[in-house]
Amino acid sequence: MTEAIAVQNEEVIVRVEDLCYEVGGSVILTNISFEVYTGEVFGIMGMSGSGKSTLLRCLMGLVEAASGIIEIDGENIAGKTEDELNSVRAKMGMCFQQAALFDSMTVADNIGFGLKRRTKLTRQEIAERVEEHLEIVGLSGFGRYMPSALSGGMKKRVGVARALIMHPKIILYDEPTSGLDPIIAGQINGLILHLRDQFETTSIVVTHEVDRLFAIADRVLMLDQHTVAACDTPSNLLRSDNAKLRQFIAGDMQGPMDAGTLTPETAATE
Amino acid sequence: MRKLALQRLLWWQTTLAGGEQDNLFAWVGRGLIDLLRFLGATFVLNNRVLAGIARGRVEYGTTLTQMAHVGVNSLPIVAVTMLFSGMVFAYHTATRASKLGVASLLGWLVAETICRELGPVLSSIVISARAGSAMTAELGTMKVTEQIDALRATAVNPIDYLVVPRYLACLFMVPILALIGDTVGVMGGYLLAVLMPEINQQAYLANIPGRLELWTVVAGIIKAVGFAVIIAIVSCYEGLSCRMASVEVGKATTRSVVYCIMLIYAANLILTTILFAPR
Repeated sequence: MTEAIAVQNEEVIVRVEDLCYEVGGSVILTNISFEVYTGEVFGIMGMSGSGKSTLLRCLMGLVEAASGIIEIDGENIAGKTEDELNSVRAKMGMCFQQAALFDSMTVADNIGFGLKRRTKLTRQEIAERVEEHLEIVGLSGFGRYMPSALSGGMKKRVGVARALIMHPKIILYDEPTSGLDPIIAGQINGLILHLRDQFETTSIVVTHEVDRLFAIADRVLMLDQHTVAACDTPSNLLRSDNAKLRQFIAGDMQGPMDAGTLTPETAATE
Repeated sequence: MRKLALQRLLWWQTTLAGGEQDNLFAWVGRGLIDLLRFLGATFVLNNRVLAGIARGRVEYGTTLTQMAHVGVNSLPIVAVTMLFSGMVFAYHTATRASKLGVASLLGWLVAETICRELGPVLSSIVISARAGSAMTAELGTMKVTEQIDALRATAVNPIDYLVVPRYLACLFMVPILALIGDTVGVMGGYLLAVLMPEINQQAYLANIPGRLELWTVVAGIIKAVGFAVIIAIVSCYEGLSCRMASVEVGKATTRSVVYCIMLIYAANLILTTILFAPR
């Protein structure tokens, strides 16, 4: 079913071409090229330090690429000022790996922050939308809590609700289910699919959890040695002869990929 | 002797540069480049803040909260600092003024010195340590915990949302605190006059209105406005440019206070020569 959707809708919403990113003389991403279609769940996987999170940050314009093209909904974000980027970011949402909640605000204020800033909704309407989204992530009644009173998993769910509430065209998820129990993780994955099916929301999901990713992704990109090692549908990737890919999917300790291939100089640092 | 001097120079080179391969010139050069980079970056930040204010991107609620943090919360420490500084200064001046036969001018001497120098400079230094360090620590923590990135991801400009309110709060509150500091300092001197029988209390107060020029007070306030810009920009810059580790928040906070104090003293010299140039 998932592959069918990818084939049906081939309107490109994110286009990355020859993207390179360096920091302090270390190459983090090199010659990254791929396209993401509207309404697609696009997975990005790879070893720790391979540059997955950095790639998401490049897409959001949080870090500036050294070279290459990043087109979001037809707009190249390279060289844009912060204000120009904000008009592009308004079409996007992002769930951070550590949730990144505003710790001076309550859970409800965190979730409603974007609505308060970027819409003309009344306080009552915002409160209703916030409660609705708290229910979606299974945190009804937690609106008045401060983030410090929540567990790591709960914070992550608040982060998801904060990204969802603006109904963006594209949502970037950085490890959305790591640290969550299987039921809540399944709920988050179900939500990603629901958004795709109901609203044609494009999701770009970075994760280590291969099984979960393959269950929801229409296509998956694998990063290795800071560049694209493979990009295809989960079923094609499972049939691939690529030894590194097979090792990564199987989680084998022995094979062409080992921790020795990662050095402090080559690891992607945030 | 020359050999010893050479050995000392080599020791300085390796100690200051932190490595055998660097030399003193490289260390000085790197320091100069870092200084220019810092001044350039703070200048750019200041321009962005002014552009934000000019476009009307002011968060009034947050600005009021920051005014409370900077103003109300710093008031006790500014008052205590200026009270005792005024008393100590009056004590030193009283003993010398008596010998010179100008004890009746004590009040004016204290008021003139406090309004010109001690009030704006000491108040600003205390505010940079009390409120500026808190700003750096708060913004640094937000940076380390990706809250600044979360703001940007929500299409909110962190300079408009975080720096502009702190800048305006400093711009309004530092001069007010400096003025309060001036008053408390002068009253501290008067308190000492009450406690010391050899000082004429009536003369202390009576000489101030006739001799203290309005311009002296205004110039002190203008200085405080300049120091407010330094406190806000340096504190926010250090917080926003904090590196991604919790230990860096502490380092950034220390740096911000040190840089604020150094820049306040340097700016004080420049402002003094401009505002109090012989007419």
